[in-house]
Amino acid sequence: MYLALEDYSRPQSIEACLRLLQQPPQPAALLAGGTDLNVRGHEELRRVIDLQALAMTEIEALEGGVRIGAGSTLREIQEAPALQGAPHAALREAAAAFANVAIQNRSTIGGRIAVERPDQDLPPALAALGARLQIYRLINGVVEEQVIDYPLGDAARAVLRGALIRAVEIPAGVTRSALRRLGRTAVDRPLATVAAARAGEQVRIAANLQGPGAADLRRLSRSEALVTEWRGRLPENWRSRLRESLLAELNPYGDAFAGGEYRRDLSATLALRAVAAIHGEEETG
Amino acid sequence: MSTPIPPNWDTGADSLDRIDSYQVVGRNETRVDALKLAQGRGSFTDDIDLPGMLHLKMLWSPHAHARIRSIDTSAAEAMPGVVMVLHHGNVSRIPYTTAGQGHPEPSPYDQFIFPRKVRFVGDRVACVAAESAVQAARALAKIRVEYEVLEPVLDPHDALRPGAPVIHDEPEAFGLPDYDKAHNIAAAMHVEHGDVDAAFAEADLVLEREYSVPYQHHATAEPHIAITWLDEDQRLVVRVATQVPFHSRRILARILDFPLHRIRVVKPRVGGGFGGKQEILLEDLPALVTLRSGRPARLCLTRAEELASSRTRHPQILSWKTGVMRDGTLVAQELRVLANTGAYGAHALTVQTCTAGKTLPLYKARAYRFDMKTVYTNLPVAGAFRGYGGPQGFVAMECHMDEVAEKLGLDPLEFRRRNLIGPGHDNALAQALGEGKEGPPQRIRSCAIQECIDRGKAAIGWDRRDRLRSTGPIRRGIGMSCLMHGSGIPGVDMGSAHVKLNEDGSFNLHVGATDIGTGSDTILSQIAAETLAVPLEKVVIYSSDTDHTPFDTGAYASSTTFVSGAAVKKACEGVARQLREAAAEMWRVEGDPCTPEDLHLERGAVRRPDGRSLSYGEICLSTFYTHDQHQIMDHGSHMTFECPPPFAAHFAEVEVDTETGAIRVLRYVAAVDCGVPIHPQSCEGQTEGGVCTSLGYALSEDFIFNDAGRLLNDTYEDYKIPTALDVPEFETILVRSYEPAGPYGAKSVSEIPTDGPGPTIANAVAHALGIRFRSLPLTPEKVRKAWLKKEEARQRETEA
Amino acid sequence: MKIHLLVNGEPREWECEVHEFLTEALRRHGLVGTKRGCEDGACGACAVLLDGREVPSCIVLAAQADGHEITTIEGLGDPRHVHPIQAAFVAATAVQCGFCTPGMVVATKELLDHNPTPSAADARRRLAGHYCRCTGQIKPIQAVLDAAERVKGAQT
Repeated sequence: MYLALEDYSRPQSIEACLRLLQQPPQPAALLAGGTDLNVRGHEELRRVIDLQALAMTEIEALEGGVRIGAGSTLREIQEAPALQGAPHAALREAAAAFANVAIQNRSTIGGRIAVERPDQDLPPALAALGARLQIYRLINGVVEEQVIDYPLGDAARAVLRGALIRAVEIPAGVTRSALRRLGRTAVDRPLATVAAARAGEQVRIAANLQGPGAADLRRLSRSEALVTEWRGRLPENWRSRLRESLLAELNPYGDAFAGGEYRRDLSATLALRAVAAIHGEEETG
Repeated sequence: MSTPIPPNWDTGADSLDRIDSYQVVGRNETRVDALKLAQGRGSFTDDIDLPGMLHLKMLWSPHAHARIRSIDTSAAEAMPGVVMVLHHGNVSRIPYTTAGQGHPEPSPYDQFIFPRKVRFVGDRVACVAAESAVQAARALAKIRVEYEVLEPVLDPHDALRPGAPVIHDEPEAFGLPDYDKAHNIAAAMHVEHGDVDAAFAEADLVLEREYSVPYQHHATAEPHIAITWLDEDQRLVVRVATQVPFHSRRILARILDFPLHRIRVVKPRVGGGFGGKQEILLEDLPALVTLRSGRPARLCLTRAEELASSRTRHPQILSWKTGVMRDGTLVAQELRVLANTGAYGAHALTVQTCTAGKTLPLYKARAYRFDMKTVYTNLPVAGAFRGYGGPQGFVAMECHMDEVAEKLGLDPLEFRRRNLIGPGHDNALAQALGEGKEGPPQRIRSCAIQECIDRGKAAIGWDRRDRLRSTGPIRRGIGMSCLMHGSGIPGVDMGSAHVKLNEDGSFNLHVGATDIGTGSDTILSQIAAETLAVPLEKVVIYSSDTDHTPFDTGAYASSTTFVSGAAVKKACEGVARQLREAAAEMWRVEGDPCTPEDLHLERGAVRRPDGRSLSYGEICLSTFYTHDQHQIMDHGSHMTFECPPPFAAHFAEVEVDTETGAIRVLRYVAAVDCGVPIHPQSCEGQTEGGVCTSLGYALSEDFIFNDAGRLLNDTYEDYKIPTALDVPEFETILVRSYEPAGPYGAKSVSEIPTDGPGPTIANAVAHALGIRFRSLPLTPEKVRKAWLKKEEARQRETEA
Repeated sequence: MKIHLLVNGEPREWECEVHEFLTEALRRHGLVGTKRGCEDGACGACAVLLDGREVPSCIVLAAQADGHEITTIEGLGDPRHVHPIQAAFVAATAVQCGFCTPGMVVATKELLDHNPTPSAADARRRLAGHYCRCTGQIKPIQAVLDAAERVKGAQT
């Protein structure tokens, strides 16, 4: 495939990036690692605005949580000291599951969020961790900062399209998280992914592939409520009760690579395992 | 069919002790090309850039089945940099097959450089040549094609339906007598040996089961590529990633209508072939552009084009029927195959005859029946793929053997042992199947299958089999299979070599055999060095170039070591004789005569019994400049009617997650009898590579189409081959035997490993779950669904 | 557009197209050890080090590499100076067709730079981004482990 790019620029400020995004030649796109640049659908792209000069690669533990610069690569996320503990296991596992190490060296967390694909591992991890996005956009020619919650609603998604993701904030409070996924080989996009996290007694569970396109990511709120009710002590019959709740709530789509029914069943199993993991329970059974 | 071993029949058993005296053969020499490749020094087709080179891009059919009503290329031709656009309206129309086989090919002549009717999504429509690849790619969008869309045939059963659309309705296409294009039959065969119906009638148990195997893509590291130019004598030079330079030259001359002697095909290093580069897939187009423009031209496929438009393994539906006595003695075997060759019939006959020929003869039976149809569909084109029908056939046979053993309550391994062939066995079935015609008689000489079983069984821990975990969500199982393959195509494959002596006692070895990563440059050099009693570095090998190396059929059919290796040995034996004669002559002139027969070669010199010697360098200088002046050189050609099978026993231990359906292969043991391994590490490498290719066949590789026949998984993101994380812990066991018909006792090793993983893993999964899967790949979804069904049935039973 | 790079330690100024990927730019300048395999970053044949990190050069625009340091396979050894990683791949017969080998060698270089004593699991994880149909990965895994020993030996 050959891109039709005519313009490449590497601005030094967020404002310059956002302005260039609106200038000809169009269509234009922000360029982070570039791992999703040379793909179908980008044949018409004329302008790319490379974000590398903005750096945005900090990964720091702050009082309210961890702040991850949007330009942090998936490799850096796996290795960052601030993300080594049990609370961030789901994030590390999602980063490690994407493609191969060389791509993880390029692909950034901001880029992965901006790429709206249903078959990604990172979105469930971020949703379970209760992530927020710090974004910038131009409103009437003025750069404005905004913080939006993850998963994105339709409105937030629309906002994000003309915006620059500056950082991902993972709030403090999560004590454990886990991500379970399955691909056809060890290096594959997922057939399904589920992430779970515990913040005190509050449990969050998120699954991907729950609908076509960008709206695929879902928090499984009824199942979350059920597990939260158990207050960290899983009852004897928890597996069957949770599975029943999950199956009622999950509604993944089927495609040529896996049927919807199988994905529902698989997602439920992965959710059970992720929930078991964050409770220190045996995962299979 | 089995006859006792006649007296004086050489099974090679006595020759095994010769192996230890070899100096170069049997040792892990540094491969002659390894360092340059590890350093990335330019060696491959695409590693040159020629001034003024044109770049070609293809327009492929978007329809599975359509007639081209018109093509308008004027807008494309007006695009910047575009030099020409080729399509069916401006090239010649000569029927041929891309199969890249010997002459006359047993595959139907059903292709043209460009078809008037496209027959699969990805078929050739047009080709743009431009100053740059980007310009060529951009011009593609400007070609206006009007199609009359036809009903496609997307299922092999549908191809045989009365009234099905006829895929090859062009009058020019023709094939062997069984070719029946009016009914979409690209090849057919029916063979019986013995009284099949009587044998089935006598059997205590008759079991028949149907199996199916999917598409598989070669996934060579290097895509198909060709670069062509005219040399200073206006001859056409074709630098191409091919397994078959001589077939390429012959076929190009015919379809381009250009004199063969004015074509030179050069094979540089090739980045993997596995049968995919046996096809004459693309070199005709840059060649045409070069002939018309006088300029160098390059065509290289992208990965998506490779997946959709190159070649694949034939998908098959196999019905296997076995008649067996209660004590486990096989009496009759019947195999019926329905194969899908896609839009064109490359290897349509011979892959399928090998499905029978590599499998059925492994077990003794009184009677055999084989019935096969290969049909056209409007799907991607099948062709040669490492294993060549074997991987398909062994899935059916070796799963079936487990099923029969289970029915009889026998250990699957002991059941096989009872029926396996051995040394002295006549392989009458292989003779009957032949290669497009009846083949020569075949008798097994070297055969160490029983030892392969013994050693593989110990290595996997077969005796643990009954104690593996059979409760809980994670189950384990162990499975095995027995395998055989061939060494070259008997009576067809021919290789040749040329050797000459240099002043420093080194030799130039020129071979037509094509190293495509197989290691044949090293192995053939080892055979030469052993025969000429020199270290490996004294052999300078060159392969292969139709101007400068002698003929070879090419790198396919597991032939290179066995056939081309024997040619090298013959050529070197001739040179060795000449060296002795020249030395004797030198000593005669010095007044100290001796007879050549008393002389022997050792450490780079011709030696007399008393220890005096003349180095090859001294002999060369004398024969060049001083006395009896001539070039010491010889050539050898080799063709044989023998086709000694290598044998193997494969074992796998798997873990199945019944909650997700995921299968993990924990450990794999491949015990192989390939005769004398000329380069043991290379034999291991062939085994490991072949097994891992079929690991993907067993678990994750398949073509997924939409309702219109378009391939949906045409990227590596979606077409999943096993990675280093999927490959199990591995043990290769080279079981020694000596094959009298092979050079230094060698048989083939390259294809047999691909035969094993399909059935071995399916058998291990059946052991783990108590569920028999009869179709590959064993995807998590397939496994989980079957498990749920089994659990439901069990629950219903408990409730009842 | 003009880009400035440090390629195998040498400063370079190259004229590139905006849409050109780094693989093409390198090959156009004679560095043909970096291979075109799949053009979507999956197969690993085009791996180079960018500021010391392994990247698939087929998905990096040449323009993105402007101002950075690139190491290709040609920077890791030559006929007279065989890199210990290359020696390990040769010794293990981990080189079959050899098309994927330069990428594997480059990957091993980065692995060992950051982790001088890799486990077999580390080697597998790193090679998982390098598709190879010839070897089945068994000998390359051994080669990576052997390379670690050789690199250590070369440094002491």
